[in-house]
Amino acid sequence: MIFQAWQWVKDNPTLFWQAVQQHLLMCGLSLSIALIIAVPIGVLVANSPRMAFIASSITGTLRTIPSLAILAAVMPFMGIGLLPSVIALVVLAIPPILLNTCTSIQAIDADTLSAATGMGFTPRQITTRIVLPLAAPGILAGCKTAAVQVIGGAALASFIGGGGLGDFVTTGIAIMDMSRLLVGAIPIILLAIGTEVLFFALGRVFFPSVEKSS
Amino acid sequence: MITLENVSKSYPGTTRKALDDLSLVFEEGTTTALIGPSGCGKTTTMRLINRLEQPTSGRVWVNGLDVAKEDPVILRRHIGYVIQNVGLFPHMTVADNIATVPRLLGWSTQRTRSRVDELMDLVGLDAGLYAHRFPAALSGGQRQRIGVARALAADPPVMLMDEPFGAIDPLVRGRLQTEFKQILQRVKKTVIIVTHDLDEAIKMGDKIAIMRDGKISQYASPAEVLSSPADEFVAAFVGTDAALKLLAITPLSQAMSPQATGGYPLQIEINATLKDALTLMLTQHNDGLTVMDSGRPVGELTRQHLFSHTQFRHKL
Repeated sequence: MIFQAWQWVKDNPTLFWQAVQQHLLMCGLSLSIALIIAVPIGVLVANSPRMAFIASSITGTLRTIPSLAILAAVMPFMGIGLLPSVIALVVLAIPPILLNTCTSIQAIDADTLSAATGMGFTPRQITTRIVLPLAAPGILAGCKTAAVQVIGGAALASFIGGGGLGDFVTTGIAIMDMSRLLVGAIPIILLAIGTEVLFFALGRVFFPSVEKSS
Repeated sequence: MITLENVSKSYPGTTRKALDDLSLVFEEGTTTALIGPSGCGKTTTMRLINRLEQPTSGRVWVNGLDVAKEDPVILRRHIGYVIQNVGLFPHMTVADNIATVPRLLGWSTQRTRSRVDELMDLVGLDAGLYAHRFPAALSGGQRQRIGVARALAADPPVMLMDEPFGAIDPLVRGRLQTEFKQILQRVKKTVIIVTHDLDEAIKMGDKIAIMRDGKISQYASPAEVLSSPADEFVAAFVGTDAALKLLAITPLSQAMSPQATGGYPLQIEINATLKDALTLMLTQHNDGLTVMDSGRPVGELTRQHLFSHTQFRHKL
């Protein structure tokens, strides 16, 4: 069956790579947008315990909604296609990034910040040179969780016409062709694992001090 | 020179004043210890100087500048600041931590680098070995050395140290205090140390300001505070062993007679303190000592000298 799937990919390379491209585009786009939205909100919210509580409650609730439900909920308002899929995935990706940004900033030692203030950092310099670099490993961990969720969620985007590898899965189910289903499923699994590995490596490369201190 | 002029401070929502019409002058090039029970206002007093706190009324002058008129960020870059838990930046190497203020001030890479080496040498850490380590890989004492080096980096005329040895274990603390006192004497800064440890205040301070309820109870040299406490509170604060503490900071040369009769076989070096002399007398059951200076007898110190020298104006 796996051989049949491989054969199909070899026979239809354009279709297959288009789907992979579409899948990656969807994931990359929604992750980037989520990052742009979630990190600044996390930075703003982390300074006030009340705001942080509100934000974490909302995102916590958002997180319990299944990905399929989010995708389905977007359709009546946005229709079908790539854009609504991306929006749904952004909603999916924001909670882990926002929560991790917020908690990593709150975990920064108060002495580090008061030393920075006392030495003459401007508030902006404290954010860019102290807070963000110190929160970066946590933010990266949030991105990893979000990325894995988004890759899985993107597989479901095929239901609202987002395309991608999920198309092979839905087609496979519809025509009861298990090998076609695998054409979608196996790359999705590999992508998810690859993402984990990629983020692990990124952490190793960019934050060697985190390894040393623990 | 730092001058506090009729400074009062009250926090919103409280009627009690944290600082109550405080006036104080810290002389240029001296080390002053601010000491008192918690809540006495010593930390607030320090934080007024680099504008981490604003006075409700009154003025603060640093080297002729009214700090209320200065940009707090610029002001702070010219005042060294050391806190109890050091607050080193964990994501930066030792060298980058020390280079913080020079970089904020826009020094050249070359100048910054040589200054970092110079400071690591000053605080006794091998630059080759430690410059590229992260703070997590250092001991508490090493971190505090880096904290001091970082505060000294841009050669600020004023250093503020908020309980700098509070988090360091007692064995290392004593050694670090001695070392820092030597460093501070070498760099000639106006230093203010906040502490709740009287021994530390006596050891580090040229002057001690004892605070209570936002006011100064006594502002004088350690010897004067110990020998003539200004009031009951200071007397209680310095404790019943003030006499012994005073002996420990008095050089025996102040009490000895400059003639050596040769009547006392026990010898002591001239740079010892009266406490050293008393300890020697007690352990050797002897009434007098011959004082030696580079191998030659230069005087003697007897029990009578010792007793007559330590006169206490305040009866404990």
